[in-house]
Amino acid sequence: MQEDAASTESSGPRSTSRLPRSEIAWAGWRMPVGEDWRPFKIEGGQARGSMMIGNGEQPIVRVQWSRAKEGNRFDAPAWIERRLKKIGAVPGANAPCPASLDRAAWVRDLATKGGTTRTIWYGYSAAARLMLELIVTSLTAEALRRDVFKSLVPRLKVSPPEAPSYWSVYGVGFACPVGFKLKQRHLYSGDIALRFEREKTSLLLRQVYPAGLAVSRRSASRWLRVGPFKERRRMRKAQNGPWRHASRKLEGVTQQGWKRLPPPLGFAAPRYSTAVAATDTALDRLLIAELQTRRPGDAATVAWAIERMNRG
Amino acid sequence: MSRRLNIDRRAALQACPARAPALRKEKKDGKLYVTVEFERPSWQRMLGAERLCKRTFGLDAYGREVYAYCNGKRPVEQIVRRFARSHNLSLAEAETAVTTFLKTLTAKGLVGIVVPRTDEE
Repeated sequence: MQEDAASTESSGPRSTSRLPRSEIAWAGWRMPVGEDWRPFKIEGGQARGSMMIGNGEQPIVRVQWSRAKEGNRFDAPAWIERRLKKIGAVPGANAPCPASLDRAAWVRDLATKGGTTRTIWYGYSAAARLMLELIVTSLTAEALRRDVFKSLVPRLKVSPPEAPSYWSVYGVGFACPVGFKLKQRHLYSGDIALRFEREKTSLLLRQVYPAGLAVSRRSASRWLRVGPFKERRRMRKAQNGPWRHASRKLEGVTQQGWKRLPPPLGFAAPRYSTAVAATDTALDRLLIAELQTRRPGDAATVAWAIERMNRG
Repeated sequence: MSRRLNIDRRAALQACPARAPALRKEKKDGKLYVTVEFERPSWQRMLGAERLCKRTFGLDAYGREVYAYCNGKRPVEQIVRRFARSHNLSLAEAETAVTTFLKTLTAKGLVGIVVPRTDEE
């Protein structure tokens, strides 16, 4: 039994103004946030959606994103003008503009029908073809509102669709190769998974933690057989083997084989599954990646996805 | 008669859980078995049950860690932070896990929560 030691940690109220110590990355944007900030609600997908972010006490900021379609000649100033016209507001001066964005505007303390006010910030990146809208209401504590626009917005980054995308919530990070679009998400405490698709190829990225507990209840190869999402195809004969990544001290198992629909449709549209489940002993996490393709091969993509997990 | 306290989240995070006196503690197969004595509810006593009874609970490594932190001096918030740090968890996840577990420990009578008195009380 651990002895009770005199505590040296501060138990007083947390500082009202805090430096970013964590990060939320989603759908092509990434923003440093306070260490106790978390997504409350995520809606939409990669092309368009919104995320409400807050801490344990209150919602803080709503992030809305929308990606202009490829080939469209998107007019950012006109888009911002339309958004402002829609809410009947005049843009304020000195809108914070992160280095990764081309244009930004904001409306400060816009009165709402409920008697509160809200500040809306708009940003656009031509390279990423990404439009962002951040909304903070006066119901949020003033120190936090200040943090959003003084500390967080200037550090906001975006990634173009031609680059690998990075996804991070609850301190769990995934990198996804170019061209894949988010199809499903499974955000449970201790088990976070995202499934991406590119044409007929599917990529599952998953982290289960603490790994010690996860592996004590179910072996790594069994974790590969039981996915977080409902799947119609099943693997009949799998080739299993050890898997190791020397530089990151990752050890686990790899599994390959054809996944087929149940009989009598087994002949139709099979997918070749290449999967790895590896334990990251430093973080005590079980890292899982599975790629399903129409033809065998491409173990390198799976290894790349595993290696880049939690690497920013 | 017991009084139900209505406290906000911040006060709850500042409350200090303390281990109830255990009759026996035993380590076996990587688990810690804690035996505590508790008072049966009045309806059970009316049906003829004895006033006091013993119950044993098994705690795994994670449960043992949180149980060990409950010394009556360390607030819940600090336990959450320590747990998050020791297992590389985000504060949000650690808070959910630790507070849910403390609620279970309290319901089972293994831990009592010391809530700081405020001026309004």
